[in-house]
Amino acid sequence: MTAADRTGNGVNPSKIHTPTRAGSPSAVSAEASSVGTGPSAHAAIELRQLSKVFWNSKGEPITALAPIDLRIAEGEFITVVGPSGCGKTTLLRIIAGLMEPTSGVALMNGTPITGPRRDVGIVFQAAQLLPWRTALKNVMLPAELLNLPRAQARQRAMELLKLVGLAGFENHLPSQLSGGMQQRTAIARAFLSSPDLLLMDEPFGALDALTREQLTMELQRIWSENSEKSGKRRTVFFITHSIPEAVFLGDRVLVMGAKPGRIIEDISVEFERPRPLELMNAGGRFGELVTHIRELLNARPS
Amino acid sequence: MTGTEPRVATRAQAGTTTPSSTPSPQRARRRRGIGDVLRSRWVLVPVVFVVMMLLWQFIATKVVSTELLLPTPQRVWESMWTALTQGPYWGRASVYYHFYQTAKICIVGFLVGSSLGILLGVLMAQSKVLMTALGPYITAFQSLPRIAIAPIVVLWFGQGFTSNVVITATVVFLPVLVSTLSGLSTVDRGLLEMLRGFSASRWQTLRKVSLWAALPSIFAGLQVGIVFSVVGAIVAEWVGANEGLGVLLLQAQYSMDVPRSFAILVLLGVLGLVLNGLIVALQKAVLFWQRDESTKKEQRMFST
Repeated sequence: MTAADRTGNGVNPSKIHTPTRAGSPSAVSAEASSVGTGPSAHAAIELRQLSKVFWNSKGEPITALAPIDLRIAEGEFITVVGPSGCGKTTLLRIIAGLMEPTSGVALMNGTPITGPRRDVGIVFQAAQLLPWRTALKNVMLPAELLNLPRAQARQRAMELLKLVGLAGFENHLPSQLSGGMQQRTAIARAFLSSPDLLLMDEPFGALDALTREQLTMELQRIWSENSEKSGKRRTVFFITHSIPEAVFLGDRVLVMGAKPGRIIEDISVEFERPRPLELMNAGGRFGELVTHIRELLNARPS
Repeated sequence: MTGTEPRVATRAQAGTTTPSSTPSPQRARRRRGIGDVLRSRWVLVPVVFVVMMLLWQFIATKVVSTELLLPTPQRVWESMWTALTQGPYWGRASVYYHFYQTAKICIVGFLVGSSLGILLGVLMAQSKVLMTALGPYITAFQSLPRIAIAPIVVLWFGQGFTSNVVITATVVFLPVLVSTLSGLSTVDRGLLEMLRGFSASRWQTLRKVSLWAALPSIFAGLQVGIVFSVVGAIVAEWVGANEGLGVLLLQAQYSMDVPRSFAILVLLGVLGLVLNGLIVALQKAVLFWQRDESTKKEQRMFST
């Protein structure tokens, strides 16, 4: 499939001459093996001097991501805010294995990310449901792709649909579901294979404010309930345009800036979980954080 | 970011067009007025039929007035009625028998041609090399008139069923191939990326998404193909058969029985309609999710 090239934003692959470092496969594997033998525990995600450069139609380079270093611990809920064009989707796509970095490496549990992985679940901005499949069949799709036992997957899909509030809608086609319900189905689908890492690219971006708030609460709940069951918290990488949403959901908020795309600030958020919806209204620490991030973003208009 | 931005934006907008409230199918149903009834096919088609018959009758009696050039509708109807009700109902003297032979060639030729079209379309969509290598030859072959190829096919396969099916299949093949290719190349990229993100293999992507997504387009090609199959079958019968409506047509023309020629033409039209109806029915059954979408679109149009 040439989807890799096509989705590569029209970049001519031949033009990606390895600029700075660690561009060649041998360099990557050398680094990986040194990591593999390293004594320290691996981060869930580790980015080392990761950068991405696109070339526009005139052949001028556009730095989507300036070299980034980042460590995400297992079980962390990372939220990402930033203006459009700051490279947050690019970053997600690289972590998802849907795009290759221009330089640097991305590691998951200590091994380099070379392509889409089975232990990663993704929720896209649009629900991306298959219109000819019922909600249940859509949620079960990853199980078919990964050849998981069918009966078990079915049971789990039913549980997940219940968890996202879609009990009774199992046999509805996407066209019979509202936008919010479609997005919930997509979230259930991402959880189906019990991925270690959940990547969410503005999953609530296309929804109205009320549905959005509701789903934000539900995401927190699903995430924590799921964690209780497996005894392990899932790592989440969640992109959003909404600053309150980022502060509300995140253990850490990554504030990104554009031109070149980079992380301006990495803010820890220490509210207790589960966080109540009222937290968003309260001033105090929550308000301060929101104001601070807003100022960060406004100080660097894109 | 770069090129993906506009696409992402349109996807998002597409997402918001679905109402966020729970859809209720009953809400938007509108009462049908007299205007809708007049525009329905049960009124329009008979009206056009009557107008055409009157026009035909007028030309046949007042303008041409010789049956050798244009018989009246009545004479055609009489000829058809005789063929359908008099004489044997089966065997070589029966029009039913020949109708059946032609229908058989159409259907088998259609099945062979469309299967090959879909198969090659899928293969070509998977392999750019194949597409580049075969493209010009297929185009060149397709621009040859079937009537020119038919004698050679008959030379190879002999008179009768096999060669007729082969000729019909070559006519059906291209529209189906082209529609398959275009269907597979316009699969929603968002869906493809989703599949890739869930580490689907190429075969899984084809089986679980691309083929399904291409079905509406493939069916458009099948509809063209089934109608073309009648054309193919008649050409085939003219060149290499001793039964079928095409042969009856030749015989009627040799014996200067013009009303009978017209009657057979009408039967051919009926055959095309019936075959097309079969495909449309199949399409409705297979594309169940589209049916839902289109009713929803209608509802939205009426409700705003």
